[in-house]
Order: sequence, then C-alpha cells, then structure tokens
Amino acid sequence: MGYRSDIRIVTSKEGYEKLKEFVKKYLEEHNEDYNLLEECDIKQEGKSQIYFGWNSLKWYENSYDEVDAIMEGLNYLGENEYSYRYSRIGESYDDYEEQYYDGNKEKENYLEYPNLIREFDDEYILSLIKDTQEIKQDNKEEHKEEIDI
Amino acid sequence: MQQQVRIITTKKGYEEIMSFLRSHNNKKLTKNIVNDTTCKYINDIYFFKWDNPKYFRLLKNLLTVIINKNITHRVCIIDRNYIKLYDNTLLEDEYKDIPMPSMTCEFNDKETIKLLKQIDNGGNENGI
Repeated sequence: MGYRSDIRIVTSKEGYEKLKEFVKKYLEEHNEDYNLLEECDIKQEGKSQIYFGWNSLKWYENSYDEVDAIMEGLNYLGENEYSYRYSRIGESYDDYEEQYYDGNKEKENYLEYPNLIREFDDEYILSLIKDTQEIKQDNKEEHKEEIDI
Repeated sequence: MQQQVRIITTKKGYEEIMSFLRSHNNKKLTKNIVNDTTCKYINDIYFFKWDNPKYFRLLKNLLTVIINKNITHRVCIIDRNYIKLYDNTLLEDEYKDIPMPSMTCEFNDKETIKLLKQIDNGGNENGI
C-alpha cells in the first residue's frame, strides 16, 4: 500500500508552461517516461491560472523522479519569479505541507490558494468511546474473576 | 462549516455545563444548547457537538468555564480557519483516557474552482 498523499498546485498559465518544459527536460535527463503533469486527477484551466493535482499518490521526494521533477520544477518557478501555490495532505492527521511563492513578474501578482475542508469525524470518536469503555468493562470483569478464584 | 465545537467530558463536566446554562434561568435556551442532537451519553462519557451554533458567543463563555474548571475534558473548536484544542486530565479520574475529537482534512476542489471563477468574473484578471 505505502503512505499516500493528496497534492494540489496553482500556477499562472505562463508558469505552468515553464513547469511543463522543466519537467519534460528533467525526466529526459533522468530517463523517466512517467510524467505526472499528463496524469492529473484534477485540472482546471482558466484565463491565467491553472489548478491541478493528484489524489492518493505516493509522493516520496528523492525516491521517485516524477515527484522530484515537479518539486524541482516549483523551485525553478520561484527562482524565476513565477508564482505558485503547493499543498499536500498526507494520511497522518498532522501531515499537512504548504509551499508558495509570489513572483514579481506582471500577471504573477495573485494566485488563489487550494481550499481545504476540515470537519470533525464524530462517528469515529463515538465508536472509540464505546470500544474503550467496553474494554474497560471487560478488564474489570476479568479482574473480578481472578479475585474470585 | 464555519464554526464547530466538540466537547468530550465526564459526568462532572456535564454537571458544570448544565449548571452554567441554568444560571441563565432560561429553559428554552438550555434546551436549544443541550438536547438529543447536541449531546450524546455513552458509557458514562458525555459527547457534545455543535455545528454553526446560533448561540456561539454563549458557547464561548461556556467553553471558558469548562476549560478553566478542574474537570477531565477534551475541547476542540473550529472557528473558520482556526483550530483550537484544550484538554485537561484529572489523575484521580476514572475516565482519564477519553479521546480527543478527531478531524478529517481534505481538499475542497469545488470551492477553490468557485473562488477562481469569482476572481475571473470581477475581482482580478488572473482568475479562471
């Protein structure tokens, strides 16, 4: 199975073209055919901004060239004054990562941030309370039996 | 949801909550805040949930009372983009291992795309 993440990125249209060029070159240099930019789970193109991303991916940096290509590409965008927004949600509850850069080029002024929904998982907690208390009850009864013996 | 509150506590905590509400001398208000939808009782543990509560300011006062009382409690508040967690455990309390409210976090693609379209339709020339 492996540890998986959801990833969302927003770039300007021009920035996206630069990212595409960089990723293609990077993958060629590393003899890797799999280009994540061609396999997005979500992609919305507009006038000047592009929102794209992947769900449930093994997003391991320094292990997969296709992942490194994107991350290096984002760094490349920043170094060349292109704006970007990058967010990653991992499987662990506390695993949330965000990177962004605001470039000073024209039309790179404002990019939207990927939106998040945070909600309580009540069913999980209620079942946890039930289970914990049942285990406690069982332990008590076992302890009582031991004393009786 | 904009504002969500969860409290997990013991009987003592429940009594403190009810005592605070009764001090307002308003039965209707008490019923609005503590009822079958907002309060669940499971094996001596009380679980409270409020989603976008009408009386959020009053709830804030109630939370202040609970957080500062010497009772076992787990409190979690989502107030727009902020998350606040409070907990207290009495060593002598039998229910010291009550869980913290759990939260899920995922991308809201619809909302992001909506925001980008809004920018496009008026606010900013960069939008989708």
